[in-house]
Amino acid sequence: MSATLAAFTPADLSSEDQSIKNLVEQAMTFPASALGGTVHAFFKEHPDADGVAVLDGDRPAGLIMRNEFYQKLGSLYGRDLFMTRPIRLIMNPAPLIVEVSVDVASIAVIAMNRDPNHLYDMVLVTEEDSYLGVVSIKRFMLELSRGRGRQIELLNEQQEILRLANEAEILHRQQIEVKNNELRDRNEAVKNLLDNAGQGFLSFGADLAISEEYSLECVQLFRVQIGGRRFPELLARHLPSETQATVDEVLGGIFLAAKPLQQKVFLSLLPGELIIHDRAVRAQYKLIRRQDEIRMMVILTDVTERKRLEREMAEERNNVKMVVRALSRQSEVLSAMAAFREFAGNLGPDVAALGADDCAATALAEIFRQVHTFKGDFAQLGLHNTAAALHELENALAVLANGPPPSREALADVLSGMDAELILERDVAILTGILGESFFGGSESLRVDKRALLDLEGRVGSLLSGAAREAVLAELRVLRRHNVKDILAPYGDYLAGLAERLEKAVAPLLVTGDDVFVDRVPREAFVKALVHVFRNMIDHGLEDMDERLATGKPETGTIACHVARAGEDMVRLEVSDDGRGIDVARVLAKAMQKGLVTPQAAGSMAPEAVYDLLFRDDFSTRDEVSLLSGRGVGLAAVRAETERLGGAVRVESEPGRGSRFIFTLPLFPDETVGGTGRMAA
Amino acid sequence: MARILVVDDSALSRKSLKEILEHAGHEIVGEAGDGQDALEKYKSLKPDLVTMDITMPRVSGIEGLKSIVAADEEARVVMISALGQGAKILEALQNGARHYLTKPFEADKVLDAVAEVLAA
Repeated sequence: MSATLAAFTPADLSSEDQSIKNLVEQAMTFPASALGGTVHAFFKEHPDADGVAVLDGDRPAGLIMRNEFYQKLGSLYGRDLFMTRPIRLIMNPAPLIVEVSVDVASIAVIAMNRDPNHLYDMVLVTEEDSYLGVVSIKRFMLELSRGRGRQIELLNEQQEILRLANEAEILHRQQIEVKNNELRDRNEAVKNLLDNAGQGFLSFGADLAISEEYSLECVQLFRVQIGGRRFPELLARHLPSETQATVDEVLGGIFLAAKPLQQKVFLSLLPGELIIHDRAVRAQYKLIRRQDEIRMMVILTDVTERKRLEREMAEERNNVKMVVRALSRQSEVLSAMAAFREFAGNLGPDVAALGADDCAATALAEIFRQVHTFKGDFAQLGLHNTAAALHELENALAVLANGPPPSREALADVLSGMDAELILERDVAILTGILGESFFGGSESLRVDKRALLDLEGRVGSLLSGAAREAVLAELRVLRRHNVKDILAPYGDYLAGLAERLEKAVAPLLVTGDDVFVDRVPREAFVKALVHVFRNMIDHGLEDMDERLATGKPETGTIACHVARAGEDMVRLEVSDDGRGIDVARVLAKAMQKGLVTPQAAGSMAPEAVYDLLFRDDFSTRDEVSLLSGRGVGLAAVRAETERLGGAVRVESEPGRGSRFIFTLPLFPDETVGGTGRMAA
Repeated sequence: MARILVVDDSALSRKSLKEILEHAGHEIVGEAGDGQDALEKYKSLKPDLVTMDITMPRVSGIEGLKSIVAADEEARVVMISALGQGAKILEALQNGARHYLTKPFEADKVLDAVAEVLAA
C-alpha cells in the first residue's frame, strides 16, 4: 500500500500523537441525582465553564451545556420544573462519548456530523469505560487545524516523491497509474462510508477480522476504533453471556456452509439486536461475494428512540392479542393456569421430600423441563408476561444446572422465589382489567360487554397490520358469534316467569343439539319474534295441571328446543311442547268465522294447510284477547322474520301429544356449523 | 404437500402445529412425545419432514435428531425451540437439522420454513 493512501485512512491517523489524550480537560461533574439548582449555582460561580458532565458512578451518563441549560430554564415553567428536580431530567442523555484511544480525525468527522443544536457540545472521553474528562470543541478545532497542516505537508511530500519517481522511472509509470487509480477508488470507498453517518457499516471475511473500511458511526457506537479487531470479540462484551459463545461458532458455520438455505439459517441465529453502551442497536447481516471471497457486511442502526416508542405500542398490542386469544381459548387458559398452580404448589413439598439418596440434579432437570414447557404453553396462549416471568425463572434454574451438582438446599432456595400467583399476576390483572372478574369465575362461558368487544376490534385494527390483523380479527369475529343454544337459553327465565303468572307448571327449558355459531346481530329480530312461539305454547299449548293429570300426563309440562345442522349451510331449529296439540276443528271454525276459509274448502283442507292459517296476520284462535297472546299478530311476525332471513317455518302437531315449530334458516357464508369452533361453549 | 411427523411433549404445541400445517394442506402422519418415540415413528412412517421439539423428557430432541439422522442421513428435521435456546439450535444445526422454529408459532414462519426445507 502506498504511503499516500495511509494519510486518508482512519486507522493510520490513530498513531500515538494523534490520540485525543493531550486534549482532554477536566470539567465539573455531577451525579445524575443532583438538583438543577446546584448546577445553576455552579454556572453562576464559574462564568467560564461551558458545560458539566453528568456521571452515573464513574461512567458518563449525560452532558449539560450552559447555553442549553439556560434555554430550558428560561422556558415557561422551566425554572419551577428543573431547579428543584434531578438533572437527569434536563441533561442530554446521549452526548458524544469516545474512548481516549480514538484519534482526532475520526472524532472531527463524527462531531461535525452532529445535530446543529449540539455541534458545539463538549465530547466526553472515557478510558476503559470510566469517565476521564472532556474535550471542548474550541481546543479540538485548534488541534485539528494543526493536524490538517501536518496532513497537507505529508501529502505534499508524498506527491513530491511521486513526481520524482515519475520523472526518474518512466518504466514504472504504468504501475504508478494503477496505484493512483487504486488510491482514488479506495478514497472514494472510504468517503462513501463516511457520508453514511447515522448507520454503522463494517465488514469482515472468513478470518472474522474487521476490515479498515468501516464507517465512523461504528466508532460512535462502540466508542473505540474497530479496524483489525475480530468481530465476535468486539461484540462479546455487548452480548448476554449465553449468546457470546454461540456467535463465534455461528459465524464459523456461515463461512463453512455449503448451501444457501444453510447460510440463511445460520445467519438468522446472529443477534438482531444489540445493546451497545445503553443504546439499542439493530444489526443486519449481509453476505456479499467479492470475486471468490465471501464477506459479511454488518449494518448497525441506532434504534433507541424508535424502540422506546415501539415498546409502548408493542405492550398494548401484546395485551390486545392476549385478551383476544384468552377469550377464544378460555378453557385452555384456565386449565394451563390450573396445571401451573398445581405444579408450583407441589414443588416445595416435592423438594423437601427428596431423601439424602435422591439426586437433586435429576429433580432439577425435571423441574427445568416442566418450567420450560409451561413457558411455551403460556406464550402460545398469548400470556406474554407470564411467559417472560417463566423465562427468568428458567434462566435462574439454568445457572444452577450448569454449575456443580446442586444441594437440596440450593434447589429449594431458587424455587422459594417461585410463587405461581406472582408469576401469573400481571396477565391476570390485564385480563381482569379488560374482561372483568368473570373471566376467571370458573364458568366456561363468558359474558363480555359488546362495546368492549367492538372497542377491542378497533384497537386490533389500529395496532396490528397485515396477516396478523386478519388472523386476530377472524378470531374476534368468531367471538361475536354466538352458539344458537346460548341465544335460546335466556328464554328459560322468560318461560318460568310466564308459567308462574299463568299458574302452569313448566319444566326448565331444555335446549339440546349441535353447536352452531352465528352472528347474533342480523337475527336479533327473529330471536325476539320467537317469543310469540313460546307464548303460544305456554298459553295455548300446555294444559293446566288438572287437565294434564286427568289425561295421564305428568303435571309439569315441557317445552324444548333442539338445534341441528342441516347440510353445509343451513341450521334447523325445533321448538316443541308436550301439550294438547293444535285443535284443527277449532282453528277451522275460527277461520270460517273470520271469512278466511269457505266451509267447502274447510272440509277438504289437509292439517298442514290448517296449521298454516295460524301464521296469517289476520288470524287469532282465542275468542278473547288474553293478557299475553292472541292479539293475532304474534305468529305472523315470526313467519315474517323467518322469511326475511331467507328461511322457512312449518308446524307439526298431534292431538293430545303436543306441537312442534320447525324453522329452517340459512347460515351466512362465514359462520361456523358444528362444534369445531374454538370457542369454549 | 408433505407428510409430517410432529414431535413435542406439549399437547398444546402439537395441536397448534397440527392446525397450522393441516390448514396449509400438509398431512400429519404421526405425533410423538419424546426422541425415542420419534425415532420409532420415523422408521415406521417414513415422513417427508419431522418437526422436533428440543426440550422433552427422557430422550431429548437433540438425541432424537441424532438418531434419526444416523438412521437416514437425508432426513429433513426442523427443530422447535423456545426463545433463548441459540446454543441448542446451533448444536442441532451442526448435527444435521435443516431449519428451526421458535415458540410461540407464527403460521407464516412455520409454513415458510417447511416450504424452504422441502424445496432445498
